[in-house]
Amino acid sequence: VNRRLINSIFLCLLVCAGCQDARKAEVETFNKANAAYKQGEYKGAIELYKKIIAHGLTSQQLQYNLGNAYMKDGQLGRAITAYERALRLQPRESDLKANLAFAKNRIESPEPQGPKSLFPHLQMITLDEIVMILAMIGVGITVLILVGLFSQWRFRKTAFFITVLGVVFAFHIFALLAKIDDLRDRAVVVATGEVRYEPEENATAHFTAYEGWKVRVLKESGGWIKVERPDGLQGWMPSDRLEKI
Amino acid sequence: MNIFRINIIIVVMAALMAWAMPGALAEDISVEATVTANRINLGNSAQLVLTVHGTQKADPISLPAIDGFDTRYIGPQTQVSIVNGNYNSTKSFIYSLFPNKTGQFKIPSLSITVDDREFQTQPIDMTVEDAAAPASGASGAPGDLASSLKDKIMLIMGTSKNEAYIGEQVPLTVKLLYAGVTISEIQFPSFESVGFTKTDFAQPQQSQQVINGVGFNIVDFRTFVSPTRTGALTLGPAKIEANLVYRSAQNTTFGTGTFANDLFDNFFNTYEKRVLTATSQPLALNVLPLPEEGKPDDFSGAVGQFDFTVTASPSEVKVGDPITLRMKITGNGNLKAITFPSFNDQKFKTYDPQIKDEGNTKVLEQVIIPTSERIKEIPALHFSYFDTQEKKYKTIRQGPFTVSVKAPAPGEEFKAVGFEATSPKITVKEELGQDLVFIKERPGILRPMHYHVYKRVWFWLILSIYLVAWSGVLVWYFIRRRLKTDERFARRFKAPRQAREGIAQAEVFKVQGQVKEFYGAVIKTLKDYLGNQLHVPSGGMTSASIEPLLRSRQVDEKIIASIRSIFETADMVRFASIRPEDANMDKTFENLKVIIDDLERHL
Repeated sequence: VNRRLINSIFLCLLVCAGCQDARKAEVETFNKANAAYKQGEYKGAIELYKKIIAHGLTSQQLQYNLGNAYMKDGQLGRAITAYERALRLQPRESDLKANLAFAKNRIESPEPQGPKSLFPHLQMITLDEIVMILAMIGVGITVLILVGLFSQWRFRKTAFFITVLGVVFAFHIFALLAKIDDLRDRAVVVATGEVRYEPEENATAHFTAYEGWKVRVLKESGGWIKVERPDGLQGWMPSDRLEKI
Repeated sequence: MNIFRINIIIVVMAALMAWAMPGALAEDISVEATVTANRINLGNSAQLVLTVHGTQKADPISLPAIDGFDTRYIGPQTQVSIVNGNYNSTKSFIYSLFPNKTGQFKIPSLSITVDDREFQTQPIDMTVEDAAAPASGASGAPGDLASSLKDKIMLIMGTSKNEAYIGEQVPLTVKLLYAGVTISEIQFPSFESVGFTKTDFAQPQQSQQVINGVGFNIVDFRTFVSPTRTGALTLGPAKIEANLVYRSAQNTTFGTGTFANDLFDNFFNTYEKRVLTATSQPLALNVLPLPEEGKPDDFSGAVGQFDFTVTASPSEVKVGDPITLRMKITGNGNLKAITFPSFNDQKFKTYDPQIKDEGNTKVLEQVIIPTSERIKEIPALHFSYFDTQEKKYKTIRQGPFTVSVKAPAPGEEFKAVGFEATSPKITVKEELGQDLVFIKERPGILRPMHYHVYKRVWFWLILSIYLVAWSGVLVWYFIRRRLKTDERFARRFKAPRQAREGIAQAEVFKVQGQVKEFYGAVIKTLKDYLGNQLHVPSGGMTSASIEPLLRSRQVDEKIIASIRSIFETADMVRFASIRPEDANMDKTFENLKVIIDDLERHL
């Protein structure tokens, strides 16, 4: 039994070491990409950053640097896509917010504005953070129930605290749903072009979607994507002109 | 009209349709291309109509590039008619033609596929004339220089210099020139300005100018830029969006004479707007660093040509009376970025200054209060700047200013409480440069794509363990509380445990051969168990008193018989001193275990 245990532990250590080696290789690739960026070889830097992403890994810093490389390479739409991805990982990073604002200022035509969000604070927290807040409030409510029972609080006192926490919990449930809705099916226009009434090249143009605009993806059909602007206008555009966030 | 008549009309119409349909099926398909006008002015638009006769099953085509025109698809139009029993259907596709230069052009033969058959249209000749020179003749003189929209709409961005110092204010003009076309809703220009700060454009000035014999309308936008870094920088290209107004030309029945053009065309024609983006050439500007040589210690970044004056009033005060120090900088340069020399003298109490921008003048007013009658003067103030014309640093010195400070009269000692409330602080908007923040040196924690806490097993495992533990504590609390408040529940709850202890005790006596003690333990265990389960006193319990209660709970008669047997045997041993066989002790012991086990399941 002891020998089996030792073998298992050794195997686990070997797997962990393998993981560490893999991460080390990605860090080296990241450093090479940064070096390419500093030498002005932005296309090379983009390829190296994307190589790490192709291995299924990501981080806020990686997406941020990729966004910078795209900006320097003149690919505004892809830069905004990368910044938006970084924003999902760390929405409070000041450099990231500054660069995203810088990029959005360069959009040829201002992005249409939709109605204001009921949960503006959602822009400052991630989906994981909302989940953790909900879990903590849930734990708080259950602990409060036990404290109330064991300390023989009056029912009104316990009910008051639980109601307060329950309201906060319900608010965050709505916030979670709103956040999920905000993140779902979003894409950025990577090439300016007409948005048409029908998914055909010859269909009548409805409006022009400019590179860098953020739109919602509604439907996909045969190389065409039905999109919706924040102000509610909808239309079809070729899928190669969009990149999903 | 009654229902009978309506039915007759419907039947007749259906018959007519049925009669017409074979005609429709037999109808030939043909395609033709027409334009609303063959001769148009540069600045007018025409419509190209591609009509398919004989079917509705046709799709629009993508027009090839047509020399001399930009095109835009407007949409389809369908028409169905029944004339003398002949069913006719047409579908038209309408395209706008926007001429972009003058000359003779040809709309090529267009190919369209309908019902798997390919049709070709006839080419169409088009003439585009210069609207500014309508008298050039109907056919256009050979050898005339063709003009295009690019010659008629130009955007020029310019500065007075191609070399500037960092921080220098450089005037920038963006001029929109257009001739022979109508432009409306002109937007303010935008331009790339990485490495510069810029001010808002002033209201544009409009003028007219003849260039190479052509009268141009000029819209002149003016602003200032100020470089924030050195080296070869690029400004622009500048872009302006405006609506180019095309007059949609129509063929009218009034011909093409002057009368028709001037009067009826204006009446019948409509106007069409097309968004136009005019783009200028980018502008190169070499930005020089400020020289280190001769840089004064108090230099704070002022670049340009300035004058600096300071006044202090009143010059005769008592200790504690305010003196207003007024500094004024006038001139050409980056006034917004300029900071005034600061007044720091321990002999004066100073208050926050008020700063105002007034065009080419910037004024600072500061209240200073002398704290001693020994003060004889306000010290001198220096302002240093870099003169971009003479290319050297200059310092202007003002003061010192003589003041007469008298001691306060008794009861008028220096007080300055609450002074701040009457001196609101005015802040000047700081102009900041704009560029990308540099890349990050470290990759941070590299996580799998779409990693989320709620998708991880450990998250739900921890949550589940917590919920199970919490439920356990809750159940334990309620059991404990009921044990305290519900005696029946408490007795039933403790009955099995007490029975197990009694059985263990009886087993000990059995092994040791202590017969009386064994039966005593057996009968006590049984009575306590039954008493606890049935919530009756166990002290005076007999077989006769317990049997009705057991029967009322539907306990098996065999079990009741076993209980009776144990009671009788125990009574005999304890009270008649009869010693049973060891086998009977074993049997009694086993019976006891079976009884308790069975009652555990039935009670």
